Amino acid sequence: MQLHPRELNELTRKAGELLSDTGDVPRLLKMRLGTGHALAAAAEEMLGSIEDLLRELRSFDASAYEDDGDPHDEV
Amino acid sequence: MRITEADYEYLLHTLSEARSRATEIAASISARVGREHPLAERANTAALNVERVLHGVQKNAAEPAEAAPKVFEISSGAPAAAAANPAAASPASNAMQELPWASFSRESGVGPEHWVSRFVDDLMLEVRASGAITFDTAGRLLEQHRQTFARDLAIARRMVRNYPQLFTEELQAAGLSPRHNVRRTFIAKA
Repeated sequence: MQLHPRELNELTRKAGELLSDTGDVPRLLKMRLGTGHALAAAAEEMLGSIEDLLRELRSFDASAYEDDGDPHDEV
Repeated sequence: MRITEADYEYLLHTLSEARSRATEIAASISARVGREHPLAERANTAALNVERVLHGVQKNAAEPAEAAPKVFEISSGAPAAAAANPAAASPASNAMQELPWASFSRESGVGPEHWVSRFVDDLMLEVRASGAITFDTAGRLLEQHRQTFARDLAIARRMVRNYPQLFTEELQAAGLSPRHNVRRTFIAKA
């Protein structure tokens, strides 16, 4: 298994886009259904988990998983 | 305040896209660092949470609105009485309430994840929201589903090509080798 810095950057970029694209979902659901609604809470949790993933990707040490082989095609 | 038709359209579109992306990210990370790695677990959690919210929105959208939908009022013949006293609703009107959602995939034999089941779901959401249906609406929805299908197909092909080890069981179960033409198989299933 291998994770090249270039791939890590690409995954981080995609996770950032995911966060940005879904950022309005909890706000909209809270506004429409109220802050106490289960769906609004689930959306908040979803956003939190994407933020956690992004944070983890940004702090990930790719060099620990890198080898000398050629990287795969675009992910 | 309730969720409007435009809200549902935005939410379903955004979350469907997000599900594809999150699943792709999770599969990519798992293939690189292993499924047990904390990073892969984070990615899987995010993908599952997106899926959960998408299902929640779909379920919420499928629930009957406070006022009985016009399309059922017209079809059932006795809407006011049924709305006032749901227990007294006729079997026919109950059947009308059940028909559109769950029954399509059950009666047609195609799975609920099949694009045509989702298309029918979305079509019925439009009917419930607006009380009417037009060729333009149906055409627009069909085009959206065609584009989603094409995008999912491209992702599936890329993932099988890049990470065949993740699909070994599925390919073997289908009697295929990892080098099989994925596009042909995917289309045949669709």
